[in-house]
Amino acid sequence: MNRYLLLCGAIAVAIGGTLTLRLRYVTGPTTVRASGVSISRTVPSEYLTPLSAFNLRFTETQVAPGEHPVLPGGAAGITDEEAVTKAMAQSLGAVDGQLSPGVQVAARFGAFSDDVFAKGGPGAPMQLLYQNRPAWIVTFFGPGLTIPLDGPDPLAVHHEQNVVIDADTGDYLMGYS
Amino acid sequence: MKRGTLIRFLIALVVAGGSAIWPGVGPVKFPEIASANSACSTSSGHYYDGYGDFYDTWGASAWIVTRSFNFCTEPPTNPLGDKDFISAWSMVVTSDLNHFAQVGYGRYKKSTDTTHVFAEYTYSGCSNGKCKVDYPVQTYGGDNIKYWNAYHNVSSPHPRIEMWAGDCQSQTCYDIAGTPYDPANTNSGTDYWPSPWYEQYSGETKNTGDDVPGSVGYKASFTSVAYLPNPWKSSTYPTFQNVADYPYKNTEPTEPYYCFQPAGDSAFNIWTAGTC
Repeated sequence: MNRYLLLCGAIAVAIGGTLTLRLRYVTGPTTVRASGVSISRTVPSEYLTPLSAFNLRFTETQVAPGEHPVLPGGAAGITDEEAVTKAMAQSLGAVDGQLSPGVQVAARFGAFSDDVFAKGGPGAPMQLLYQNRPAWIVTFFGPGLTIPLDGPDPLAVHHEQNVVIDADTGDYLMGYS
Repeated sequence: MKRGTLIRFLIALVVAGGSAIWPGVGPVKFPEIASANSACSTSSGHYYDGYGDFYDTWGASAWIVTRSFNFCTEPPTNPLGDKDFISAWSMVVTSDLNHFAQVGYGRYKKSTDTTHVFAEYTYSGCSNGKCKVDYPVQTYGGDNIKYWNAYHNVSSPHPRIEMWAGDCQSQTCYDIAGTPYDPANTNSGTDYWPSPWYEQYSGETKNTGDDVPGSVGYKASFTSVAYLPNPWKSSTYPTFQNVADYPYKNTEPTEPYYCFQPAGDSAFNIWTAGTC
C-alpha cells in the first residue's frame, strides 16, 4: 500500500468517525420497539423548542427504553412506548398509530410544570394545573411533519410538535411547537 | 304525552332555535347542520372572514360562539392533508403585522382531533418566529366563550401579553399562554412590538375550499368585540372597550362564500354558504 492510499484511508476514517460522533450527539440512543417505532431520548437541535418560550419547566429523569418510570408515590408510570402510542393520537406526525413518512419521535420522562396554564372562574381563584407532574414529553420531528401557522403570508409551518402525556394516567396534557 | 302537549313542546323547540331546556337534564345542544364544503385548492395560504379595526390598543377581546365547519374535499389534494387547521380567534397585532398574539378555538383535520382552545404568538425563540400551544380544553357547538388577549403590566415574571379563554367573572376561564418577553420594552430586541397595536377578530382557514365556522342556520357570532385602551395593571380583570364601529368598515372575507353580517353594536356573524 503506498502513501497515497494510506492518506486517503486515514482521511476516510477521520470523516467517518466524526460523522458517527456527530450523529450520536444529535440523535442519541434510539431503540426500535415491538411496535416498530424507534424512540430516541434526544431531539436534534434544529427541532428543539426552548421550554422557556412556553413558560414550561422540565426536570428530566433517565428511564431505560421500555422501562416503567417510578412515580413520586412509588407507583409505576407508563413506558415510553405507551406514551408515544398515546401521543400519536394527538400528533400530526402520525396516522392510525403509525408515524408518517419523514417523521421521527423522541420521548423524555421527568417532572413537568406549566407556569401559565391555569383554571378559574366566578368565585374560584386561578390555579395552575400542571405543576411537577410526572410526564413524558413526546417530540415528533422531521420534514414529514408540517404544522400550519397563523400570521402574515406566506404560510409558515413547524416541523416539530411536542405532545405532553401524563406518565401516571396517560392523559394528554398539552401540545406545543 | 298528549298530542296537544307534544305539539306545544315541538313548537317551543322550534322557537328556542334548537336550544331547548329539558326538565332536569339541562341544556341540550342539537347537532348542528354542517355548511357546504367544497373541493380543495392545491395551494395553501391564509384566508379570513372577520373584522379588524385601528384603535390603539393593548389587547383584544370577543365573545365567539363555537360552530361546526367542514374541511375541503379531496381530490384535488389538499397540500396540508390532515394537518389542515380551521379556527376562530381574537388577536392583538402590530400595524406592520409582524407581531401578534391570538387565542381562540380551532380543530385540525386529523380525525382524532377535537375543537379545542389554542393560542399562537410571535417569538424569536420559536421556529419561524411563531409559537403555538394547544390544550385539551374542548368547546362544543353553541358554546359562547370570551377569548381575550391583554398586555399585563406585572413585575413578576415580567410584563407580557396574556392569552385567555373564558370570562372569569361569569364562566370557567383558562389562562392559556403568555409571551415570554415584554413586547413593549425596546430591550426585547426583535421581539419588541413597535406601536401602534391594533385588534382583529376572525375565522381563518388554510385552504379556500375549507369552511369558516358557521352555517346559514348556525352562524358563528362575535359579540362584545372590544379593544383595551389601557394596559392591564391591577389584579382585577381588564376592562375592554367595545369597538362600537357599526357598520363595520374593515371587514375582510377573502372568499365570496365566506359570509359576513353586522349584528348590531360591536357584534357580527360569519358563516360559509354558496351564496351569502
